[in-house]
Amino acid sequence: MNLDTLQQLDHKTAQGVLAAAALSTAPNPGVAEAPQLLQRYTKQANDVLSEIRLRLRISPADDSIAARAAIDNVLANALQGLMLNPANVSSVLNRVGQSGRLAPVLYEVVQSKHFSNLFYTLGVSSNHVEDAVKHPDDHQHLMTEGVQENGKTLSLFMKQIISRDERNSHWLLVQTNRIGIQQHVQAAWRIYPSDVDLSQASVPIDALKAFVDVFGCPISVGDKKALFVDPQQFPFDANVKVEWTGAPPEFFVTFSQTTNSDTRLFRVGLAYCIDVPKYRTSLKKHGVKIHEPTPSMVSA
Amino acid sequence: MGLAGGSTPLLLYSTNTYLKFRIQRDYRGEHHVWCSPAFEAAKLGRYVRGAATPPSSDPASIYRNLHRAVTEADDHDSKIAEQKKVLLSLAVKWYDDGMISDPEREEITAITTSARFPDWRPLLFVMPYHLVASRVQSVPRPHRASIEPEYIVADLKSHEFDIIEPPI
Repeated sequence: MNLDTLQQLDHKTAQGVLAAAALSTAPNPGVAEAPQLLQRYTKQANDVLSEIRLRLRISPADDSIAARAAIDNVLANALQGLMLNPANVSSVLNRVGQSGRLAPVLYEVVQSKHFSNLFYTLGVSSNHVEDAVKHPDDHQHLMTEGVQENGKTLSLFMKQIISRDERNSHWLLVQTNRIGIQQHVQAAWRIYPSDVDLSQASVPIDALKAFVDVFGCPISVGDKKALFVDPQQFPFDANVKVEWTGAPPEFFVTFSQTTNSDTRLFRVGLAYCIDVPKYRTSLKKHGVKIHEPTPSMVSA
Repeated sequence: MGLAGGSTPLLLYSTNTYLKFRIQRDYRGEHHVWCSPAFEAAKLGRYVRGAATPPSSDPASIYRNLHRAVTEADDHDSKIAEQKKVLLSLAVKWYDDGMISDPEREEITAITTSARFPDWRPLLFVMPYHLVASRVQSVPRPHRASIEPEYIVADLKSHEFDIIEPPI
């Protein structure tokens, strides 16, 4: 609905008037001064509301829920139209997605052949992974600060899977690289509380660390060696080695690298190496159907 | 500041949408909440404070209504329409007040307008009263839906409340 009362106003003023109209019709606790916008645009906001009522054929006395909802819809649509150019929606959502502020359900889940070759043989399916990312019970976006718009950043998603046999209930932990509104899946681990001590875990990264404590092999980033190496920053031109020489023949390695040309630093971390045969044995114990072993693989 | 009359409650309750929670957390670092000392008026004894709270201000009723709207994917739900309008207008207000940048205003708009039903699901905030006691503001009677008390905490911090999603 194009509102005549806004036609003569510049873009910014029209936004302010619409916002004032919206705020004036929202529940008001009356505990503080009216917002500046409302004070500035009281008359114009009233004119907008009168026009909306007239065009919706809602009488000035009608304060029913249906009438308010109809007016709210017009105000929301008008605000949306003025506040965001439709051509910019995609780039804004990319920026929001990269920063980890997008709702999980809005991310696009990308499962590469590289990922599926290993993890579909380890008791997870495409649907499990998609569901865990889009409808997680918990999630965490890591490395959100100082990363440039197209940088790869990490996210962890956790979904609780309840089994009739309590011993087989577990969490599915999905690790992804976040690129704009896409989540590129790197790993998906079944974490059984009977195998992994989750008692101290309060966020997904804690659960991943606890999992790596049980199934990991030492890995070194620069001069730091551990089962799980947290992100560390290095100068742009540093020669940082990532090594997992003690790993068994079949392993899964992951580590992230992000660079920031503004600060001339790059970050390497969230590095771990999983002993896949040991993990596979644990899955079999829980009755998971396992496919034949696949060749070793490395993910970065 | 502080509560007007009567003994202080142990807890305050507030029902908010998941989207509002996320936007306030991500862009403001604090939450503006409207709360009640009673979770569910209908379950209280007749003479208990909060027992006469009408559904429009009752955290349990708001929670149930939003939960139903989200579960049934009700496009015409009045509370969701109101929330969408309020979040968009708050983005303009916060920008006007210098609290957020222009790109952030744009982001809030994109997040709000691309929201799907799960984003509008209700969350119940539970606040130990003593953590917010010095900042609780009583809603004046003309602005309340009944004689029962209602409160505003304008700057609730993340460590001052728990979030629960009771099954319906």
